[in-house]
Amino acid sequence: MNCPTDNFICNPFLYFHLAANAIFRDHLPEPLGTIIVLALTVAMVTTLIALIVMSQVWAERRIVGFMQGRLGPNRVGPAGLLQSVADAVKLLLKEIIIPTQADKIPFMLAPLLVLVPSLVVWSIIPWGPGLSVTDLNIGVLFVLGLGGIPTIGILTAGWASSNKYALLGGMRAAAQLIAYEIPLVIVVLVPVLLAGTMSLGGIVEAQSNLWFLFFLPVGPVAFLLFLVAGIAEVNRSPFDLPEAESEIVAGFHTEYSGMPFALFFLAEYANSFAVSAMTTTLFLGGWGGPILPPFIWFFLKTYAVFFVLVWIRGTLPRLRYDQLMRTAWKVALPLALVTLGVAAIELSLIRSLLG
Amino acid sequence: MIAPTEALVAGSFYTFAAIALAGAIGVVLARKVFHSALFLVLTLASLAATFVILGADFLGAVQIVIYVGAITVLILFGIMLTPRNVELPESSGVGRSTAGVFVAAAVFIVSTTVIVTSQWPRSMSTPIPDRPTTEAIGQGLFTTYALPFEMASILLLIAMIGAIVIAREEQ
Repeated sequence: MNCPTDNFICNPFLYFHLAANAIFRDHLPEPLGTIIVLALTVAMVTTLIALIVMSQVWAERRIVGFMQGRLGPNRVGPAGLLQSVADAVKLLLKEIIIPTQADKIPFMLAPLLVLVPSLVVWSIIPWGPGLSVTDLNIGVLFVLGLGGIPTIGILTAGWASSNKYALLGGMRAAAQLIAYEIPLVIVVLVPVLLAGTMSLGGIVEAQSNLWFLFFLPVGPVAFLLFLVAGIAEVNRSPFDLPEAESEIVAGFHTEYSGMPFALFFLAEYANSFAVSAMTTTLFLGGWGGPILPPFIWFFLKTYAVFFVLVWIRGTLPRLRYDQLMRTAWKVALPLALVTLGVAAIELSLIRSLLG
Repeated sequence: MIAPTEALVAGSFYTFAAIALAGAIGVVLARKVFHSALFLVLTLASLAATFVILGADFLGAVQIVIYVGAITVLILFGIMLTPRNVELPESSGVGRSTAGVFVAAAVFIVSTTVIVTSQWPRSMSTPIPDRPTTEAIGQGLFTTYALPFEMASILLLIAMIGAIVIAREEQ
């Protein structure tokens, strides 16, 4: 559906945007008005992400429940929909316990280091044409940079807890994230190469005729590699070694309780959703699609990718440490390099044939 | 899309510059190595922000990807493999102190000379170019600076081979 940003059906935030501008930017001196509008935008995006995370937690628990032949949460609210709200309230009310041996400031800083980048990513992911907080011309690189910061948070959590299981979890996280970041970065270059831009909006527009998933032969390979490396980057099952509950209690967040734990939890789901959204943007044509408004298409595709993540979690057992490393360095990295090479050759061939 | 005003740009520049300086002082003064590493993250991230404010968005993002995302993670990883809670001694001997003072003075003199003798643009209002900076960087790397670029690659390759050789000898 062809959609201008000043259409109320296409842009669900138009009312908000107009109201915020009318109230703050027209009556207050610059730059105060701009700062307030920016702060409000950030607050709105953050609130939306929190709501999305609640929907995801519910969806994941229900879906995994059905996959494992049980019901999942179904007591609080219709079909258990309010279970996440109840859990959030419970976590808010719980006592925050800081171990006496812990390094207190880094201990409390770690959840923020993990959470904040996963929220900032949402400032550039386009939900529709022109529908992002800002569209950077280095968008893809920005996302990759933000993806590296949670590692520091996880390492800090592991180190500051003064707990050997937390430390082991932190070490595992660092090794895993470094290993999978390299194929991830290389494979992200395939859509960048095909679109000829690093702006996420530009990449979506370049897919208006053909999703990069269907750009044979490199598309499907790059898509799968991105999905695998993406799951590994956000520590989801089957790559959840940093928090493997059957081996190292709860890994890096063993010592966390109450709200700091809730922040880790929120970050994990916000990251999963960010990976789903990036997969949609880079390979599945982003907000492109017929009839329905763009932002609906964006969320349909993103939730579909998230369903696949849940499905994988419900199906595959956790990898062993050596299998994890072998997959990263001996399979994913060479495959990513070959994919990038083939994409470059194919693209220059097409360009020279078409003139 | 909200265009940044000049006051906002100047304000954010001074904020990030102050944070970078505070982080750098923290790196030097922190008693635990781990805290130093965390202060280093702060400094490097603020530097990336100043790059972005100065219109070098690609450089800023690369700074985050490489220095914050990779190098500090490696430093932290190394710290976690060393014994816990090692605090630095109050004094590190006359020889090391003298060498430290000498190196610090040399770096200070060189950077001050460069800062004083360079021609700096006087105005903050130079518009940030709308064109992607990646294009110019790519052109430069493959034409004017092709030789230094390749030399750097070979240097990194040598370092990597060296690391592998050292790691294998210990087995």
